[in-house]
Amino acid sequence: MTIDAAANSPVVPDTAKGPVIHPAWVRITHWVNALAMFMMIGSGWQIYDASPLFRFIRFPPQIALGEWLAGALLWHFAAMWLLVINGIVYVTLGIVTGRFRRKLFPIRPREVVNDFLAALRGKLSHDDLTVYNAVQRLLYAGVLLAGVVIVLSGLSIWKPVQLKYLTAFFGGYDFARYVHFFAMASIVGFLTVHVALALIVPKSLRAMIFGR
Amino acid sequence: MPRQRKPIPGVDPKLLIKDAAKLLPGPSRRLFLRGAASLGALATLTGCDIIDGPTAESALRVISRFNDRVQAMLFNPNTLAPEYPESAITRPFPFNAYYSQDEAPEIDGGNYKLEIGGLVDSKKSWTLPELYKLPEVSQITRHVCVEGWSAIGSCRA
Repeated sequence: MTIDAAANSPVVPDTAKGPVIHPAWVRITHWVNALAMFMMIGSGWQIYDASPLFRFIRFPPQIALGEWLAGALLWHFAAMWLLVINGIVYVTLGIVTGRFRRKLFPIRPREVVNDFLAALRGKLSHDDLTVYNAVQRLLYAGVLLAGVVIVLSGLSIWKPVQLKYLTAFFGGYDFARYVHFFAMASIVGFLTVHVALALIVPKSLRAMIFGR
Repeated sequence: MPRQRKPIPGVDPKLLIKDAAKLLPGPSRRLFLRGAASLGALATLTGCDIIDGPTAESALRVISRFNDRVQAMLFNPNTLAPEYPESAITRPFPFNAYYSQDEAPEIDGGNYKLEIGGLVDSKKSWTLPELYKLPEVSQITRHVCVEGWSAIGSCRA
């Protein structure tokens, strides 16, 4: 496979003709997910404001989506289809093609610490974009987990009667709201780092658009 | 438009907002309705400010109706909400009101009539003594507000 070949090549030349870093299905699901996340998080903030969990955290309507509670709920329950269907396609292909196994694992704590320290010193290499460093692996696997948690906890607060066992699994309706909130917070935290680093290393952004 | 009312086990945010959304079919009507008495009911339900939504809402409402059909297929309408012991009741029980307590209108119990409208078989109105004569059932369940908060209360009907 192209990906294996790419993983074995020592250095990816910084030209448009390098090996494929992200196959088309990764790029398509990535940008569809970006759109879905934008809509889900934006409308989620507006919904949150109707009954904030924390007195000191409110989202200004200017950065939220839907203008009012009912409008935001309509956005949230429309964009959920995009998020979930796209997510299922991405996770299925990620498992079936072996991309997750190859790219995200193994995650070794010692390597994570070493790579994190190297990143802080600005010494982490980005020469070969086909291989994720340990911090990337941890963050990408972690945000996938957060994605699963946010969807399941979301289902549990959407249908606390029909899915009462799922709601109970998340510690009951009220607690599940906190789980849903903190899953959102971790995803937003991830996105902040993710977008910042994509801008610092522009060729990684180019790879996610053009594949190489 | 034909409307279907299903029994709601517990309070379902999605159905509640669907009903609330139906009260406001379009931006123009919404403008007309703003401040009108019928919005009082909506404000009571949602407790939130009524702001003009984007026109995108009408398109989103099409998806919402699709969601309703999918939910009707996926879920069992006879599923009952979990019940709780009396000790679990939230006190004081939070609620949203259209007016504050001292602004609440005085109602003469003798003249009071509960009027029934909408898609129901019997549109008879009810006086207080008639209501008191009805058989009573009570249930301690979690009330989930469309706003997100929830509280356990004893509902008597």
